[in-house]
Amino acid sequence: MTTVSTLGLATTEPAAATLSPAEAAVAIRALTAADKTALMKIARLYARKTPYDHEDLLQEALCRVLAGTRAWPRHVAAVAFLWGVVRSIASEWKAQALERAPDAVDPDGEERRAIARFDVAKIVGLFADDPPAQAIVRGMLDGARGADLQALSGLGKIDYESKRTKIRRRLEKLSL
Amino acid sequence: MNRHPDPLDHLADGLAEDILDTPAERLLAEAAEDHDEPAALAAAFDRLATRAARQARPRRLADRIGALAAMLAPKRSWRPALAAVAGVAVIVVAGDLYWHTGPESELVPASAPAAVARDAAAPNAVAARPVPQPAPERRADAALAPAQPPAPTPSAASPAPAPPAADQPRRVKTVVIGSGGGPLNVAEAPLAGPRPPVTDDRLEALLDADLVRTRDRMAKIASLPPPSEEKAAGPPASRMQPLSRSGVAPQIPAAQSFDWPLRGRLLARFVPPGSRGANNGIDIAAPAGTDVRAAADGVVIYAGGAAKGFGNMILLRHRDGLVTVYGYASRTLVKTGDAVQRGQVIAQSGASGAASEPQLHFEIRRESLPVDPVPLLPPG
Repeated sequence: MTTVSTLGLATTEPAAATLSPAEAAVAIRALTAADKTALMKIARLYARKTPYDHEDLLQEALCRVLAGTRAWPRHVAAVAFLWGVVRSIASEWKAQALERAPDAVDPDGEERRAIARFDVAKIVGLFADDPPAQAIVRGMLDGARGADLQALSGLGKIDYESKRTKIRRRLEKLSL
Repeated sequence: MNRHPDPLDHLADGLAEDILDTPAERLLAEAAEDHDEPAALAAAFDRLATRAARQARPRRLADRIGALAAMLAPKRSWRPALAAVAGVAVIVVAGDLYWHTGPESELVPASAPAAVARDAAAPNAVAARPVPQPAPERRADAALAPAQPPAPTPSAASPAPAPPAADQPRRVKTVVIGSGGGPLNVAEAPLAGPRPPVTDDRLEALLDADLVRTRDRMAKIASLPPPSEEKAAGPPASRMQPLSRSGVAPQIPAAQSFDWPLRGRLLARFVPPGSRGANNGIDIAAPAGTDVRAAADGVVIYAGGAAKGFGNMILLRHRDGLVTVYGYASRTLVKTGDAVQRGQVIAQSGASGAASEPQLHFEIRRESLPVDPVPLLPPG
């Protein structure tokens, strides 16, 4: 589809594949309260280790989408897409923060890995009194998902889902 | 940048998946539990979305301006502009040449170097090009030889160039130069047609046209086979002297000698026309206000500041069809038609015209062609 911009320049964009900024704005306005709540929680998760808080992170994500600098594939659901944008910006900000660090910590260096191990140890230690939960957390930190995590916990489906909810809520309240 | 996966990123991804899998009611209940209001987080989201929309507008505009600049960037080359300027320059120059190479173009002032004697085979009687001359100059020329016999007509003046076409009303000026160092003998043979006055602007244009003709002539001369007999008979021509139309360097009569117009450091030597860095004369450094003296006896055929580049300039016509040129003067002390003596102060040096420092530009021309002045000047 050919559109005419405000500057009078005819531009051809793959509108069939992505939403225009106006369409993105409509999609964001159509989010439910639960969707918005989920996105606020997700932003809080990814804002850790960035120089800004979760509101800054989510606002930047929405701004990029509304400005059209983030192409929104038409087939991707709003929450899933915005989650990806938040995750991407958080990663970008963390990388920039590491590059600007006065001591220029090597992102792939031993120092960074040591810091990560310390954080991991701290989180794992939170669940020392709950071995199934600790096993699940360890699996999550290692990137395990779904059935693998359930197998690591040794729990049935219902208990596993209940345990994951408890883990999430505990970490949310501790802002970790 | 590829980084090792961060365990905390894995944890965040896992927790985010859990959040998305959580039923809406449960999420709202958690919000109410954490913030005492189920819609607290949703309201915060709306606030952020409003701010984001405000930020997005200028960002969108900036992005589009950037895109516009990127589109225009390849078109910002100076080449089209330079080509346009060059085209305009060519049109102006061609138009100027056309204008001055018609019948009018032949009206080179007798006062200009190009109008001085042209045929080495007949040095005593030369038909110069027709000239539109200002009345004062004509009167001055006539006053030079009031007691001379009646002026010969072009036909009586021995081998002169062919007269102009009948459909071109002209005024032919015949200059008869006395032999044996006698006084200049100037007479005019008026032809039909009005004579436009010569202004400084017109003189400038005519001088420019003369330079173009000189270059054309040089190119034709260069294509002629060398006259071996003349070369064998005569002395080796100076490499620095341009060839005349006969194929040999213009010979300066032994009787004609010149003095330095002033003394000073030589800033630039003579470089023949058509060569790289051509310089039709020499440039001599001199403090501003230094006296510039006539190199030989002669008549002022031009004194003014209209010639391009040379600022205040004086042209003196001497015996044997020689003309000396004095440029960059700060002040001229003679006027057109004045008879001057060798060594007479005719100007003061300066940095007028294109000169970057006080100096004198000095040329000697024969047959309208510049020759190297240095061999014709006293040594030292």
